[in-house]
This record gives sequence, structure tokens and C-alpha cells, in this order.
Amino acid sequence: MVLSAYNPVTTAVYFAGILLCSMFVQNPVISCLSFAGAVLFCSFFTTAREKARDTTFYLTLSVLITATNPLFSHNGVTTLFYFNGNPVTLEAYLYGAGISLMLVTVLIWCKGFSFVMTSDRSVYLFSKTAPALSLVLSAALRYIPALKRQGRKIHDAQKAMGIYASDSYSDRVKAALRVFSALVGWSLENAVETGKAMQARGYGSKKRTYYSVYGFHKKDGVFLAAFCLLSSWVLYGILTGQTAFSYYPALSFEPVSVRTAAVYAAFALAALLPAILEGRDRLLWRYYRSKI
Amino acid sequence: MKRKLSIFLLAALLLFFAFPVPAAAAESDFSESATSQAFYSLVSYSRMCNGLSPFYVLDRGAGKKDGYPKTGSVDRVQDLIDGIVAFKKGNATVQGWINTGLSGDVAKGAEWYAITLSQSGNYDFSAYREALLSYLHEEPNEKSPTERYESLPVQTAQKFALALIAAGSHDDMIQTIADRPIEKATVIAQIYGLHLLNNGVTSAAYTAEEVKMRLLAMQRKDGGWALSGQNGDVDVTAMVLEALAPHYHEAKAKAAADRAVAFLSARQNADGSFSAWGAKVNCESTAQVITALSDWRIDCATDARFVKNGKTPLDALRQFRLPDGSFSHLVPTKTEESNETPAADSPGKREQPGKTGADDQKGGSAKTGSSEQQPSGETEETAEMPEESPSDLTEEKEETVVSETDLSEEETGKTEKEKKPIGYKPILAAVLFVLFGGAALLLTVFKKATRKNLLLIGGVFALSLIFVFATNFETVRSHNQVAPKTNVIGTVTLSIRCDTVAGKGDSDFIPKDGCILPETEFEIEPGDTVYDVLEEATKRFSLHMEKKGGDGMVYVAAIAHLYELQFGEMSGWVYHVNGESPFVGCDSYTLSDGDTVEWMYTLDLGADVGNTFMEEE
Repeated sequence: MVLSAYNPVTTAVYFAGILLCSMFVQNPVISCLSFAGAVLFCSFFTTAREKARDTTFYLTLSVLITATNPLFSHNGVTTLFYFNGNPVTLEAYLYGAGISLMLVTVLIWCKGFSFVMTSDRSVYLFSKTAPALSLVLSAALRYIPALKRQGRKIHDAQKAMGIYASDSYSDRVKAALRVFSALVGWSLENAVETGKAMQARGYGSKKRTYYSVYGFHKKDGVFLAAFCLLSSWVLYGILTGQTAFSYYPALSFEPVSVRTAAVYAAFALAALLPAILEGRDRLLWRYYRSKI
Repeated sequence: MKRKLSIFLLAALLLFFAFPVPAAAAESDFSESATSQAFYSLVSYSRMCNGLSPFYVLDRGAGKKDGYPKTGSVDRVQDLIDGIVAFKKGNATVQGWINTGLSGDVAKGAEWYAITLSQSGNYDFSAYREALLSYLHEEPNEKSPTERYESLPVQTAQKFALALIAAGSHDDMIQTIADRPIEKATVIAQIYGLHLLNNGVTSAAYTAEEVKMRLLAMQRKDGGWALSGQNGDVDVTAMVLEALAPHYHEAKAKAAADRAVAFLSARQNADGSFSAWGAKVNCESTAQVITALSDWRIDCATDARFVKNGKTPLDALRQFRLPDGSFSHLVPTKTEESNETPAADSPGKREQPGKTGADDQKGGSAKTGSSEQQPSGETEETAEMPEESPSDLTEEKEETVVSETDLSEEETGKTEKEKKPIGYKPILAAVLFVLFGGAALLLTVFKKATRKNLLLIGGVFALSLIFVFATNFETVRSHNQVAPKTNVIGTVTLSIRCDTVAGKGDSDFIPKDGCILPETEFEIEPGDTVYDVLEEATKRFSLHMEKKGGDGMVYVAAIAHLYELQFGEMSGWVYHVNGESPFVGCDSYTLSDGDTVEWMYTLDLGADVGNTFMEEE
């Protein structure tokens, strides 16, 4: 992964910027570009099966949001039909679609963020400013995969013993409850053990020191400079209303001009930056291998 | 709930086996406004045939030709005109009708007859003129401090001024009325103002150029005109066309009219008739369009743009004709009536004993809404009466419906249910029934019909039925349909204003002058509330509105895309009745005749629009 080779601060700044922009700019073009960037970036690190699963989940989510929004929001000039005496409008559907696209985009960016920001990188990022928090975070984040693994183990063990092996709903629910209670017991015990072990090794008695392999290199500077340049141009566009878009009561937006196109182009470049870097890297890798 | 459900299930079952068509209850009585509008549309058509000036250029029977071409054939409408005249004058002569009938009905709808008669022949209107003048000069009383013609709304006054001109008056009153400013008034006032100018009156407040410019600027994107809203309205569009007709040689007016004519052609129904947006097909709209087209020398009986499926607007107008020569607001329900209409037969032929009998009976049943609700002895006879031509099979179905609805009536005590035509609900319920029934059947066939599975299917079926009957989906057209009123007890005036935010915000949807709906009159029935009238207004003028809450506690959250809380914590819609703020919700305040309802947008919980609370009783 190319981004892993950058300083955690660089990647954190990038993701913070792109997430804020995707979350707070209500513009379908921005959302679509951001979505494309996020999907392309994540597609390098997921298997086909994961992709299929994610697609179904995100599709269901967006269809649900799009379908329910018009039942609560009745503004809009294009009435399609009436529901319990209130108008159901095309604009409300479009708004639902826009919001769900935004939500899905943010979720996918977060997924990408989790690929890049491994726990050691996040510990590095926060260790100077908030050491206690970074420790707690890394410990807590470690627990999610650990619990998953342990749950699987307990489940398999119980299955092997022949408990709750039948197919009926009630048995499955009972089995899940039993696994869960065993898991809670295990995790409590594990937490106590971890705490004692850390205390025995003298944790918290003195200020922590750390070792890091992350230096701030030239490429970090180039990346940050490029991103800041692009994002300040996008920010200028947002503040001057180039990307203004409103759904209610009728769709209204800034007519497309050279200036708006330039803002969209800058954002497209910024959003696609990680995907471009990753793609370039992979192509190079293939090229070099072919020469061997 | 359970009981209701079982009734619905029964209805669904019944529907599934026999698809009965309930008799639609429609108002088919004589209507004064329908008759007078049909009258003037027919006369304007005959004026076109004779090459006379447009209808509102009042030549008082002089028959000025002004170089208009002759098109069309008077024969198409002459029998209809004769029928109306014969109906209205009764045993008297036409002059007698003017002297007594019209003069007695001053300000009660006689104006349109007077203008029409003055345009169809040379009559002496002195009696009518005197009656109208004395009505307008009525002395001041505590209700109005000035003489009546000064206190009337501008467009009403303009209408009387036109009637005066038609009656040959040269009273100063015409000038006084024409001098009243109309800049801020409705599109109707602009139309009548232009009519006055077209008749040689000069106004101190406006010129023909100004009014025309204003009218052209008001044209909607779809080519029509409307009182409010973004979409054109058939009636208003036709009225504007009538006012612009004498200016046909001006390029701008001609171009606007071409777009308006295209709009009207697009809005014509398949049977040649016209209807206001969402409303039922009605005589008035059809007549208004015939007048407008005739004024623009478009023969609606032959012009390809207005012949739909071989039916012309004139054919459509005939549908509204009653056997006595008068016209009704809606299409009469009897089927044989429409069978006869294409043939132009004499009024005498229509009055056959059998039919007049049927008419009497129809008049009686219109009040109760549906013939099926009469006592059991007569029920079957009356139910079959409207359906004479169809085969015996349908009659049998009709009978089953009657007995079934009687049953449900006893159980639920609800009677309005049968009046409505079949909605989508019973059909959907039947489809669900078939689907889930099929699933259960399949399970039985494949020996999987365990108690659990059947319970699951039953549960899901019940839930989906509850969903179907607890929700209500309507198309825009059916939602905007305003049911005809059978028991009108008076009129109220409604206006919707947002002066507090006029010009604020950059939205195109907040009118600059703060007027969303100018003062408009609505008829009310006993028990109609402020909310009912508002709802009717939003339907008639296709205004946007969002409500919250249900029966008894309706809260109006938005009108015309202007939402509560849009301009701060204290903003929202409030209403006044006769200038006072009632202490109850808008659907709990029952209106009475002559009330004035104002809906206003407030920024400060009503304090900025002059809340004065009514005494609580």
C-alpha cells in the first residue's frame, strides 16, 4: 500500500479533509466524485466476495433512505402522488438519493481510512498529544478482531460438543446467547489479566517513550503541498457558492461555467489522489515484474 | 378494527368474484352559472360565424363588422341558443325577460345574460339599466360607509361597469370604476380592465399598453395563465385570450395567444371537453374556451387542434345540456342522454314522459347522494333505473351490491363509503389475498403447511392488510378533485399572505408582493372548517401544503413551500377569522356564511400579524 509509506500525519490530514468535504458539501457532483475516489481506492484492498457483500449492504441502505425520506419530507414542486393527504415529491426522492450517496461515500472513505491507519500508526499519531487516549484506543480497537476470533472458537467448541445443534430458530437464539455470555466472561477476565500484566511491567510509573519508524520525508511534503493547493481552491469554490446546490422546493444550482468546472476538477483530482497513487504503484510493479 | 377488517375482507372477496360498478353520484341539476356561460359562449360562436367583433367588444346589437372573416356555421349552435332563450324567457318575450326577469335578478347572475343578449340582438335595456344603477348607488349603511359601487372589490365593480356599457349606459360611475387602480390586483381585474379599455373607456390609472404588458408578463411557462401557482389554468387562460382578442394584429399579443391556444389544445380532454386542473369536467370551463377560441376566429368545431377523437368542444358542451334547454355544471349521469347528444334534435323531442319521470327521481336522489341508501322496498328498482341499456347480467350484479352494501351499512353505520368509486384498496387487498392464499395452498400441496408456517403467512397477510387500509395513496388528479357541493349554506372569503417575509430570502417561491392567494370566495357546507376551505383552495389552485396530525388536531406546517421555522424559532402559519385569532385548531373552527379567513405567515408567533384573541367561552 502506497499510503502506508507516508507519514501518518500526512494521511490523517488527507482523510480528514476529504471526509469533511464529503460530509458537509451538499452537492451531487462533489458526492459522486468523492464516491468514485473512495470506491476506486478501496477496490484495491478488498476481495471480490467482500465487494459483493459491501455492494448489497450499501445498496440496501441507500434504497431504504431514498424510499423513506419522501414519507417525512413533503417539500418540493414536482408532486408525484399524495400519501395520507400530504404530497410526495420528486425533489424529496432526489434529496434522499443525495443524502444516501453522501452517507455511503463517507462509510467507504472510513473503510479506506481503516486500511491505511493501522493501530500502530494511530498510536503514533496521537501519542504526543494524547498518550492515554491513544493507548486506550489501540487496546479497544484490538478487542474487536480478538472478540470475533474468540467467539468463533467458543461456537465451534460448543457445536463439537453437540449442544444446540438443531436448525430451529429458538435453538439458534439460545446458542448465540450462550456464546455471548461465555464471551463476556472471557473478555472481562482477559481485560483484568492484561491490566495486571501491564502494571507488573511498570506501566504508568514514568512518562512513556516510543520508537517510531515514521519520518517526515520529501514525498510527504509534496503530497501535503499538492493536497493543500487543491483543497484551498475547492474551499474557495465552496465559500463563494460555486458548489451551492439545493433540493427544495425545486432543484437549484450554480449554472456550469469555467469556474465551477475548475472547482469540480480540483476536487476530482484530490479525491482520486490515493487511487491514482495506488494504481500507479501497481502498474509499476507489474511492469518491473514483466522485465524479470 | 377486527370487525372492519372482516368487512373489508368480505368486500375484497366480493370484488374478486363480481366486479360491480357503483353508480357515480354526480350533480346534474340546473346550474345558473353553467347556463349563462354556455349562453355567452354559444353567442360568441355565432358572432364569429357572422363575422362580428369579439364578444367583449360591446356593440349593443349594432353588428359592427370591423373586417373580421366569417367562419363556421351558425347551425351548429342555433338550437342550443334557442333552447336557453326558451328556457329563460318562459312564456314571455325576450324583451319581457329583460324587463322583469333580468332587472329583478340584478347582481345575482343577470349580468352575463344581459351582456350576452346585448351582443345577440337589438333590445331595449333601459329597465335593466335603471335597476343596476339603483343597486350600485345604494345608500351607505353601517356595513359600507360609501355608496356600494365604491366599496365593491375592483373586479366585481369592473364586471358591473361592463354590464352597464352593454346596457347602453353613459353613467359617470363607469368612469369612476375604470379610474380605480389595478396594478396590485389579480389577473381577473387586469382582464376586466382591458375589456373596459377595449370598449373605448379611458382610465386615469392605467393604459391598454400597460395592462397588456402586465398580462403578457403573467403568462406561465406552459403558455397558460392562472390566479396563482406555476401552472396555467384553463378558465383564466381563456379569459385572458378574450381580453387580448381585439389586439390580434399586435405581434406580441398574437405570439402569446398562439402559446395559450397550444396550451388549451394540450389540456383538452379526450371527449372534447375542458376541466380546471384536477377538477371534474365542467360546463363552465368548456364554455369559456369556446368563447376564447371564437374571439380569436378559431372554429373549434373544425380546427384540428380542438377535435379530439372526433369530438369537438361544442359536442362536449352538449353533454351538459338538460332536457329543458338549460345546462348543468357537471355531465348528467343518465346514459341515454349522452347517446342522443351527437344528433341535433329539437328540445321538444327530449321531453318524453318516461324521461321526465326519471329526471324527477334523479332530482330526489341527488340529495341523498346514492340511490342505494333508500328504504329497502324501493331500493332495487331505483338502483336499476340509471342503468337501462346494459344487459341483464349487470343488473344481477347491481343487486348483489345492493344487498351487500346494506349489510355493511348496518354493521359499520358508515354510509359515505359506497358513494366513492372503487379505489385501489379493495383491488390491492384482493391481490394480496390471492397471493397469500396461493402461498398457503402451495405449502399444503408440498406438505409443508405446519401450524408455524401458516401462522407466519396469516400474520404477514394481516400486517400488509393493515398497511393497505391505514395508509392512503392518491394520484395528483384524484387528490385535487373537489367533490361537488350539494348543500351550500353560504360563501366565505379566503386569502393567503406572507407579507412578513415578502422579498426576504433568495427563494423564487416567496412572492414579492406577499400574496400567495388573493381574496377568493369559496362555498361552504354545514360543518366546514377553516382547514376544509384551505384544503379546497390548495386543491383548486394546485398550491403546495403540508399538514401534520390527524382528525381534530391538524397543524398546517407549510403552504406554497413556505415552511414553519424557516425564518426562525417563532415563524409559522397562523389564521384569522374576521380579523380575530381563534383559540382552536384550524380544523375545529366551523365557518359560517360571510366569514373572512386569512392565513398569514408570522415571524413572531402571530404578534406581528396583529393577533387579537377571541374570548374563550
